[in-house]
Amino acid sequence: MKILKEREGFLTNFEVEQHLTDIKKKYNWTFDEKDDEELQKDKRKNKKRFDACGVNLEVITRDVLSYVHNGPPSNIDNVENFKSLGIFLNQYDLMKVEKLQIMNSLPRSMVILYSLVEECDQRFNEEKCEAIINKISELFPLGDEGEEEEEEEADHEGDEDDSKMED
Amino acid sequence: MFILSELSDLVRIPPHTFNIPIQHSITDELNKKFANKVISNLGLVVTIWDLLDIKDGLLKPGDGGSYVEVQFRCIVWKPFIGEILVGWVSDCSAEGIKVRLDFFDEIWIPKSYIFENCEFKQVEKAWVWRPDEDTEFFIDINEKIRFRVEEEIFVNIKPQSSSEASGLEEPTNKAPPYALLASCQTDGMGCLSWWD
Repeated sequence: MKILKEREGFLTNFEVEQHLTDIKKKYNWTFDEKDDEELQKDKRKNKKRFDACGVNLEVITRDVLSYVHNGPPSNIDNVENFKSLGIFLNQYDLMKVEKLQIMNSLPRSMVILYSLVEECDQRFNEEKCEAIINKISELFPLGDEGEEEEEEEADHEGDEDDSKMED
Repeated sequence: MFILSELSDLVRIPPHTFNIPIQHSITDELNKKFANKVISNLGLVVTIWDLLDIKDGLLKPGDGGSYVEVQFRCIVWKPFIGEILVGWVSDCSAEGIKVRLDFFDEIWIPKSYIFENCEFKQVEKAWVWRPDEDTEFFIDINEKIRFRVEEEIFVNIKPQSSSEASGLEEPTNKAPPYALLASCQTDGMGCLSWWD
């Protein structure tokens, strides 16, 4: 094995997710019950689980997908919004990696943005930073996620209640 | 962050896959070999992105397979120094904090890289950050934590000895092939809930 070019280019989490989702779909892999249902509904004839590429690929596909889904970009639902964020960020004098990090982690508050962009306070004034954050909330609204979290909390409380009942 | 790396390798195509298109069998063989593996001084390979060039196959006497040299690009996970990532705390000890991602476990925040005014509480097994006298912030196990990558460490791993491979001998505690040193010292780092 030879390494020809160590870093040919960068990928955003979104692109990696798309690539892995394609693989998962093509190979008929299911990682949870929801996937099973979707596969059942699929009208394709060949639904055999493909395994000629080794179990390691399956493991890493599952783990990376769950990493990306747990991260902030999970609410990127269409390519258009993602593209327009990229174009919007082009007008600022950001380093390539900084731009990528913003697109990967979608900062919602100043503190996070400041930690992603080096010397943010000297390079950009407050208005510009706010413009970035506002654009992110405009393109990828958080509304749904908040509800989900509440639901989760409710579930946890429910669990605790259950355990108390058993005691 | 994920990057694309360009590699070349000699792949053996097993005879039973001669009936499917060669691109497919090469991708399968490469995935078998590289997916979820660490390449020393490069990073953790996720999967193959695309194939760039496939040379003519070579035969070896006494072997039914054909050997093909391929140039390909693969997705590699390699965070750069200074990258900000989010993970879960998997272990707290007096020496530091261990953090994991869904697909990568070897991230270590040594105690010298945690906030000043931070101390480890033996009773709760948690790190406590005191930004001022009256406030206490806890870093607990399974908490979501944001950190900055400081250093990457690659270790060359020797192949398993035959007795280890057959399970006769427990492998001794070996260093992981790829580990990250991280820090948690500036604004915005630490548990996610602190900064909301």
